[in-house]
Amino acid sequence: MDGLQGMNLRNQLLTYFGIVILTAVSIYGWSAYQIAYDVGNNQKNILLSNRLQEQAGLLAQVKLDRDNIKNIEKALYSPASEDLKEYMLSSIIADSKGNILVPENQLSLPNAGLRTYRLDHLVTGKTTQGAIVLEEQTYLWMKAAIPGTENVLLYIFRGKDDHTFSNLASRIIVVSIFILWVSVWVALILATKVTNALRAKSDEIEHQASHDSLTGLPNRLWLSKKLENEIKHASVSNKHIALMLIDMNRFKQINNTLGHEAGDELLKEVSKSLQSCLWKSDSIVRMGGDEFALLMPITNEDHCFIALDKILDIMDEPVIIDGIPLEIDISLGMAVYPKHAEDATNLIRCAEVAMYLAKERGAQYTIYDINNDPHSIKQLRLSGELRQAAKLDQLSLHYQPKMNIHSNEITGVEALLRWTHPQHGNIPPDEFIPIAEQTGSIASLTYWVLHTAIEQCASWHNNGLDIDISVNLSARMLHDFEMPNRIMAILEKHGLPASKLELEITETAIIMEPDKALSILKRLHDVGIQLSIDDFGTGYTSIAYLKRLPARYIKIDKSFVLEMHSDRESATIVQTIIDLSHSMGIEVIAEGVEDRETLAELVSLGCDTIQGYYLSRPMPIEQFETWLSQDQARVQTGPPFTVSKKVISLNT
Amino acid sequence: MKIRKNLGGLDRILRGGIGIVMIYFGIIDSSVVTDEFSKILLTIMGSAMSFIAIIAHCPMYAVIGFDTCSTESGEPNNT
Repeated sequence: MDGLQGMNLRNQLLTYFGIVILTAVSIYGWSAYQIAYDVGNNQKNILLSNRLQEQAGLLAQVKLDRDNIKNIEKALYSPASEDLKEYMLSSIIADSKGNILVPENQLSLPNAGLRTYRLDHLVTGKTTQGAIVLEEQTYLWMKAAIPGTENVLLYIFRGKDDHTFSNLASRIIVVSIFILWVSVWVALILATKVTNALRAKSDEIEHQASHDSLTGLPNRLWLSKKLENEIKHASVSNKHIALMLIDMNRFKQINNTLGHEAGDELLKEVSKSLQSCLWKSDSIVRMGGDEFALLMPITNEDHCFIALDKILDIMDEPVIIDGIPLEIDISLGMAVYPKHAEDATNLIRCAEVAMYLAKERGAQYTIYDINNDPHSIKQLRLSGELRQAAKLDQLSLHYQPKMNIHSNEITGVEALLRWTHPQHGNIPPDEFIPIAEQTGSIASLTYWVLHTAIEQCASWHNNGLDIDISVNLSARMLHDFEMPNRIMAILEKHGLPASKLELEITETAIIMEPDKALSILKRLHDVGIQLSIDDFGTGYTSIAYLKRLPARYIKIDKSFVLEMHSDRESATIVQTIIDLSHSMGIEVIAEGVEDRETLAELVSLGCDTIQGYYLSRPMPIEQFETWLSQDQARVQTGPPFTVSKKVISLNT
Repeated sequence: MKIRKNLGGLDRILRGGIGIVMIYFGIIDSSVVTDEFSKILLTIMGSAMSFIAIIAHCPMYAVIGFDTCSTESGEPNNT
């Protein structure tokens, strides 16, 4: 693009210079020629003619015969016309009949032909000037009558003087050609220099615009263009491209602690480390701040993992800044062309989504997954449909019972939200809950669940079934200050005592905003609602904080319960949680109990309540009520239990 | 030493022809150009041009990045 513009500019300059020089040289050459011509002829002729007349006048006063030669020569000699001597060949005096007074004057002529030439014709003729051409040499003559006599003074002089004139002319012509040649080349060189300088300048500006000044790496503008190019190549040759976005966590901290210079130094070191992982075809870009991008064309989709490993390895090594070894903690998001996106903008977006997901989860890397992309078309559509789901009766609650180990009684039920999509069928909560959280419809969903669950529980109570109901609360709900009041209103509406409602919040949700969580949970507690900390053990609550939470139950995360049997560590963790909770007066619920052995071990460890497939899967309302009434039949496949009820039969 | 050709066919012919003409008037024929200085100058220019035509490389072209070799339109921009 710029090369072409540069070319045109140069050609323009060349043409312009060329015309100017050609014109100048032509003018110079022509005027020089003119001068030469003038010098050659006219001036000469006029001067000679003047001198002729002058001398004729002088001779009039001299006696013209052979005895008086000395005086004649004195008259012929004139110092003023010394410069004409070059042209003058001879001065000859003759009488009216053509007889030459001093024949030696003719005999001294340089040309043999002239020496023998019949000059009397000229003398006696009528014309006063002319030319004699002898052997391709031209000689000019002019004559004047000597006043007062019948004698004539004849000048013979060099004609159209080949020597001097041709010398001058040829010199001028040759020098003109030479000057022309030289000028043209000077012009060309100048033009080239100018355009080169311009081009260099514009390249420099472009480089500054597309490159980062600190690390020397290209910037995100460059990435878009480069990615487009690479995609073109890859689409033709059926190859793939891996795009990785790397964000340095805690960079701000480092900047604040060690200073901006150290921060800059760190960025430079990290960019160097990353560059060392690259192959020739790979590119690294500084996206800005503490973000880098790596572009790697790969032949096979799986090769991206090899590259990923290499990068993670390099990033594991600490970087030494100011003598302090710093661990680089990164969040990496990877997206692959054409698997995840088919154009540059979308590929970058997918990598960004993956990176933010990695950041959120605290994972070192995440590979883009369309199901986790809140902005993909699929997600967009789902979120819209989710809002309508409640109205369209696509939502339902499934119930999973919890059994108290000490009394073998079903003490409570967890209400779990299910969405039956007309096209996609049952969409798992793992998929639609995050969408709801990101698009802000989690609150309305939660209230729907609360309504339905509380209503159901109240109905059970009216039928004599005394069990608690628990509902999951999302972290986003902690921002809802009206929540305690609204829940109270729902409880009152259906006539359910607050103590029968249990709200489950995950440990990670609480520690995201500990102060907010504390205040809302306190208010809920004050209202009489029970609280349980869900998925306990997966976050990092401090024990001191735990003491301050008004929780009634702690639910051990199912990952520990599932591994209890095979992994000593998990078993120890479960035991620790149980002991810790009990010491603080909190009851323990173990989730994910799937077999008899686990149940037995939990019993021995002193766990209070269990929940899991061993007891029952989550069931829709009808199935659940049937299950409840078949308490005796459960003996074969599960633990025996009883349900505390005043009236056995249930109204559906 | 590798000499990169940057003169196309027509360019070389023209330059060679002009060079020969110059040499002719510089050394051989004295009627048009008669004075020594011009003859020498002419001879020098003519030889240079002929030499450049023979080796098909014009250093001036190299400086300005011009090339009539690859573009077979063959029109010389300047002598």
